[in-house]
Amino acid sequence: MTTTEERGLMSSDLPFELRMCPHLRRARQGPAVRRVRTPTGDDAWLVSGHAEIRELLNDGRIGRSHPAPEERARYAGNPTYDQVMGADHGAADAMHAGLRAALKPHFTTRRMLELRPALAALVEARVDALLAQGPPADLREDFAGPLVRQVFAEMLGVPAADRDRCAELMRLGAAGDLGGLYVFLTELAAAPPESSMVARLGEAGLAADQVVQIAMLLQFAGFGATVKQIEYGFLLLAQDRSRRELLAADPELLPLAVEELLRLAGSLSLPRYAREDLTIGGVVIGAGDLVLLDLTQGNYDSDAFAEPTEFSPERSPNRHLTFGHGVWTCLGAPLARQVLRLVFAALLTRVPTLRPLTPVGNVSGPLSGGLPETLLVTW
Amino acid sequence: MLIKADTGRCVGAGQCVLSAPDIFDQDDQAVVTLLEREPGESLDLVLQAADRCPAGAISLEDGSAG
Repeated sequence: MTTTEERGLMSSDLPFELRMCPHLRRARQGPAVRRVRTPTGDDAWLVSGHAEIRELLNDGRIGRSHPAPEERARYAGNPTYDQVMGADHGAADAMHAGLRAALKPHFTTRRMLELRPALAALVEARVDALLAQGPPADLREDFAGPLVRQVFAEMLGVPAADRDRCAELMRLGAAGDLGGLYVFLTELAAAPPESSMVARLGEAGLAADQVVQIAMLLQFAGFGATVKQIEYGFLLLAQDRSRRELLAADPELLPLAVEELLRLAGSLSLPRYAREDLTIGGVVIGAGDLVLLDLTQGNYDSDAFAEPTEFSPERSPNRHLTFGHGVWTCLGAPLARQVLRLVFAALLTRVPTLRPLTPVGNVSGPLSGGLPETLLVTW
Repeated sequence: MLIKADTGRCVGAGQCVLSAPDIFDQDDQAVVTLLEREPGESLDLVLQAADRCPAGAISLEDGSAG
């Protein structure tokens, strides 16, 4: 009989303090693939080895469908997070491929480079607003949140005159009031194709309600992650004044530093189901079993990263898994990279004394990655 | 040395364009395209692009564009 750990924590479940403090944090320990019990009490395989996660993300024998969805093991007890794409593997893969094909043209690196001046202006305006408001401030509500909403409005192609309204509807949407955002996006989708990315998605053959759902999904998928990366990055840099000065003096160092922030911040982890028996890391995973790919622990694997708990802004190569891998690579990664580089360039040079005001406690729910509810800062 | 870009494996992440914009581009479906067949002076950047590609779609092989 296989031993099952009582309560298998994925690293995205760890309390904020444990994830942030290098002295408390441990590198990946134990086998790369092991049996765990999820928070819902179901059995699962936790994959925490960097090589094993990369291999599985390129393996068509795991996916987001399950032949008997009602009987499947669950990870989080959260309907959004535990979602499966139906019982038919072929249909699930086709849906995923179709979605990626429709969205990919809008997330090319060229487009993101073209967006860079507009994104830089949004970042500068947010820093202006922060400075005008004066300390103390909440980094999430007064900076990261409003900025990322503006970025989404820009990326979706919302006309300049409607951006503030769109950002406000996104804020209300995240708080549970989706009606206004739905109507706004529906109108955006119905406008002529040349007017916005949302309208062009309709032109690519997607039904109007599908376009609206995708636009909402993009926004919710990207918003929390990007805000979180800004907050983690700020807190990591806040611990080391000499590094901040180094990065402020030489913006060329920022791209690598951002990759290192992304590695340490990690990501929510991916629940998948085995479609047939498969062997990984010397372990046989049975057909239908729940497989949890812990991207964050993969980022802390000492087989893949020297001194993985250290923040080394010059680390290269840095094959972190924060944006996934293979066909499960985050489409928004080029956008996130641009935004993070611009944000830290601006904060480090324009608000060099920015620091947390209060000790970081006040832990929120596990699925948020354990960030504090508010992040009060001063300068 | 020739640059090889496997369009069947490409997932459109665009890391190659970020690493070496003079060598790589993406078509209107975000699939990798080559602007140059040989790395020339950009060998380091091409190697970086190969390393960062999440799909392992970029490689170098012996030969010349002749």
